[in-house]
Amino acid sequence: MVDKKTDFILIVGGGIAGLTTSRELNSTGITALVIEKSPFIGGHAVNITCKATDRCIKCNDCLVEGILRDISVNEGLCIRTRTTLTDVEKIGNRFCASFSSDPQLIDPGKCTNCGLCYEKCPGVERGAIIRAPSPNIHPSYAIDPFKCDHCRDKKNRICQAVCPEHAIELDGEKESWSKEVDGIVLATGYEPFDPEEIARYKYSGFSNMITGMDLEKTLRSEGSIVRTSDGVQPEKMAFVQCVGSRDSRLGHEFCSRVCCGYALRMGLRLVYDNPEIDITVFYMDIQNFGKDFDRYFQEARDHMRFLRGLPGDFYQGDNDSISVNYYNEDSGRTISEDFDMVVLSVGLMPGSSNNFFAETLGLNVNEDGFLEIKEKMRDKGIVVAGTTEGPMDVSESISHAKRAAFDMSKFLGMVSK
Amino acid sequence: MSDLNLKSADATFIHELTEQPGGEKVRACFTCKTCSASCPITAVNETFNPLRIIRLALYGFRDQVLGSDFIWLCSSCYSCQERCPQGVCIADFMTLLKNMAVKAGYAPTGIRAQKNLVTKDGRIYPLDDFDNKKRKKIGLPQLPTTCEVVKRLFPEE
Amino acid sequence: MDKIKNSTPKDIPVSRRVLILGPGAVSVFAARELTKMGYEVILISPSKNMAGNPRVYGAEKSETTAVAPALIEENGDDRLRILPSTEILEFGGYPGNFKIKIQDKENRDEIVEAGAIILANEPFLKTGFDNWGIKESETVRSLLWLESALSSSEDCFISQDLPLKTVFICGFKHHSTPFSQQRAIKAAVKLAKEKKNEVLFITEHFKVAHLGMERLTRIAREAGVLFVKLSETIPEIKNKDNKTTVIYHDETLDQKIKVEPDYLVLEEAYEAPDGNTLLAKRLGVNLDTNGFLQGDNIHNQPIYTNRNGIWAIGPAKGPVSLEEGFEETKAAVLDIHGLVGQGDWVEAKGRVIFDERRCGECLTCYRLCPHSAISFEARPIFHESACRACGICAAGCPGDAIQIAHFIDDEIDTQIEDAIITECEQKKESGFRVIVFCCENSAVEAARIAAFKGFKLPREIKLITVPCAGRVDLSYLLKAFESGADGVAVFGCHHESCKSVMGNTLAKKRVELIKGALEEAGLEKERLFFGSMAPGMGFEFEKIVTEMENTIRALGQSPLQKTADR
Repeated sequence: MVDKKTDFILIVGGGIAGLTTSRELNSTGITALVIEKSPFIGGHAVNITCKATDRCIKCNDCLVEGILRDISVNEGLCIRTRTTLTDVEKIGNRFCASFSSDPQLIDPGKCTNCGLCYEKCPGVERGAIIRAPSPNIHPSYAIDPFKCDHCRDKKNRICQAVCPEHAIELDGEKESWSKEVDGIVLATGYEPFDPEEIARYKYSGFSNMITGMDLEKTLRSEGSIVRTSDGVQPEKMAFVQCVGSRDSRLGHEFCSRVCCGYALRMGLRLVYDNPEIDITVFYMDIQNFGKDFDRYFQEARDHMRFLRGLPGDFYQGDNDSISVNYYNEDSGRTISEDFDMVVLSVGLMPGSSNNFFAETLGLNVNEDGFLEIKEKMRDKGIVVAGTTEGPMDVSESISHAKRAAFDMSKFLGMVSK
Repeated sequence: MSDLNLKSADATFIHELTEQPGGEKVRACFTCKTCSASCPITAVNETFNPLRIIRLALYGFRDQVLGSDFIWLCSSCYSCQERCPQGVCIADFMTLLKNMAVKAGYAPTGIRAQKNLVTKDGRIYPLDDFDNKKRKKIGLPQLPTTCEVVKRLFPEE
Repeated sequence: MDKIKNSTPKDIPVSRRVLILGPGAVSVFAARELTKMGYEVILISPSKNMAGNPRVYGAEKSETTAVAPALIEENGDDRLRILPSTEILEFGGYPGNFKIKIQDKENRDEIVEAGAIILANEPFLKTGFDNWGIKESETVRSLLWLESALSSSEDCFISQDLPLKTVFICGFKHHSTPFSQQRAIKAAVKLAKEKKNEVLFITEHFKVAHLGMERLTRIAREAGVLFVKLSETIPEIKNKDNKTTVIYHDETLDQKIKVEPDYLVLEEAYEAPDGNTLLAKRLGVNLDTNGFLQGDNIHNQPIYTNRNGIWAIGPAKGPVSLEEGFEETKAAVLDIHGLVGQGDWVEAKGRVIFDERRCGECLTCYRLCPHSAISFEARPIFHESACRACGICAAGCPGDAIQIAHFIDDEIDTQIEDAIITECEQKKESGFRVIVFCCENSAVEAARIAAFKGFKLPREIKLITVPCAGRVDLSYLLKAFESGADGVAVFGCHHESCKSVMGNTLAKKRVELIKGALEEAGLEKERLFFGSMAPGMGFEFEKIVTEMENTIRALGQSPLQKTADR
């Protein structure tokens, strides 16, 4: 048995699953280090927008905020952003993990999120300082060393000078370090499907074609949706389901489970914001989501047009609209219809690091490319949390992460009598 | 359109199809309609619809498929085949159906006439004395008006 | 404040026993995990069968049967009591120490104690022959029947002459699930492959949102199962003289298809167990619209109920896969370990402050509490482990006998006065002032997001945090107007998303009540309103606040303010 005082768990990935696992481990008295490759914790889920209309439609956004809040007040947690795992070696019962960290630049211990750096930075427009998607992320600001004047060409260091807490240090260096840990939780999550992989969508060719994730992000940060081309609110929108998922030719022979839920809820929210909006959903099969699915689906059918079948090709229409070719039941012909905006409901694909972990830690990836951890592996101190194991929604990720924490605590002998 | 009774369907039809080149993957179809949505023929002629042909074939309506006019409308542009997420070789499947239709004696008159021409003359556009006369006038060599070798392609029916 | 004393005991005795409601593989799994960890477990099931039905999860029998008998064998262990045919009659106590009266089928009852409850009863599989206007017969069967027939005899479904025709119908009269479809498709594959049947599978949607389902549908298609999806119409089933006819409209062909199958197989609906309504009432747990044991409220996600100490996992919440059920079991067990596994006592938090002398024993608090945290033994007893400190009881108490720590009436009153006075001093010329009571769970968060996005709250508008909109006492609203506020608002959660079930509804009612009173007092009722929002609605917060500001500015100074100034 490992000495309990030194129990130390590495959690790879600071998304909702990783954070939940760390919170739960912490409550059972286990210290965890969360590493996150991006500048902010929260993962993809933190970009989900609240889709409430005049009532809550259970999109789970607030669950994410709730966990971020718990994390921000929990002193015992250790989080390193801009850090990647470069190697893992097994040493006896423990692991030696090697990391590479980009400089943090803002000291989380000193930063008070006053936002002065963001206000004064001359490079905000090009993203030299970026603001987190949620006030519940601490620090709420991050400096992008590739866009910051000082980090690039040692020009000016205004933010460092204005920071009242002296929390900014622009001369940080990239560092490599390593640490011995007792167990590893893999919570690296998923990758949204890149529609560029399917040529007929011509994703980069249309400014008004966005992915479901783009839509979430825009609604979250702007509060409303406008066309990229002209800044005008769209009056006619199309959602295309199953983009990248359920495509055996691409080797994605799985349903990514969350897209029907997010597209329909998003549609309901857009209809609420603008009752005049005309929404069409191109679908194959609508999957059940959450409680009271019948009601949501019926409501969606009352307010949107559901067309069974996926569209064929997409062409440039008038006024930057997108001309969508689809098979029309009534005429029996393929017709072309213009939409102001097209939203591609992209699927949840396996994370790009899954193969790295499979090789380094001797794990299996399943047929769909997600990590599969057998009971045997858990006994060796490796568990998976959240969408690393397969597509799932926020609420499922949370219970999945709690399971991971349970398995890990059990491995460390923390939950027995 | 009249109702179809599955009694009249022939379950062996789909077995035959899947055993031949072009038909191997047709059962993978999950009716996403991408083929119809990207078909340039369906855009102008509602009688041709790749998905409907696949469905009829899957049901086993042999005569409705092979005896139809519409299978001959496929232009073999491969738009459907390129786009099918299930990797069904739809254009190849259409070729297979055409071949089977001919075997079953369903070739349309136009195709039949073309076949007769080719058998007779070796060409779809027949050459006769008129052409050779003209050729001679402008100093071109004479061409044979028949081609016996081609006849071997079409054994006696 | 010596007149107020903490009513609750400092420590709460905690039982390390867990009561699990089955039947089924998930409940059995939970019992096993807990006993392995050293907990005492009482596993009860209203039915005789403890192992449940693995088909509920879309699983093959062989995958789950191993779990139940193994556990029942372990039954020799005195830490585990397995009580089939047992129901919950009465339910009391509080998290850490529930007292449950159970009764077996011989009407023998017993009171047991448990620190926590896990609800994991399975849905009920119901074949809707009636919905289709047909009866079960030799040719019309349920999926369950087919599955057992397929696993029991070798030579059924094989015909010497023509291959048999089987038609499956999934959904239409109920919503299909990935788990029922998984079973149906597996059976269909068996019929097509091993029995050489011609199989037609009619459904509304492929429910493929489950591991391996997309692949399974492809395998089925390749095995020769013909799938038909209907979007707008439903099939017509006729059964006469043991001959079945199915007629449906094929959308791709735009034609009616008639088929006369040798077997018609109907998929079952996964319905909540019949006993749930009564059980929910006894437990004080809310049901969702489909009758499962978890209210449809975002705060119950993923495994919680409106009562602390009661977890709803896996099958109890609706159809799930076995893997998900096991996952949620572990998640709940981790929570339970946190609640009752840390020794025999839980520190009381002292959040409820009760003044016995003001109590009129009117039972209002007892009736109002959405978390069943108050019991009544001559006077109310507040169980802090059950309490979520929403303050609904405090707001409802006509004698002001109840206070919630950090939100004591006097403190709120001071905040109201401060808001008015400070504003008055700063801006004598306008004297405009608005007080907004904000629910901690939604409006406060929305305000934070709005501020983060750069929204500057007008100085004249003061936010006062309350633990729940339901904490807003009628007297707060009156006090605010009395002190000279030009406008007052209560911002709470949206319908069906109040952490305390009905705090928002109560607040809305109170606002309406005071509106009437305002008119009588000669104030415009528009000066008071209720706003509902979700915690993520930063932009909407800004919009609502701006609208409110404009309305109240248009109304001008409150007539009461002039009096107050004087």
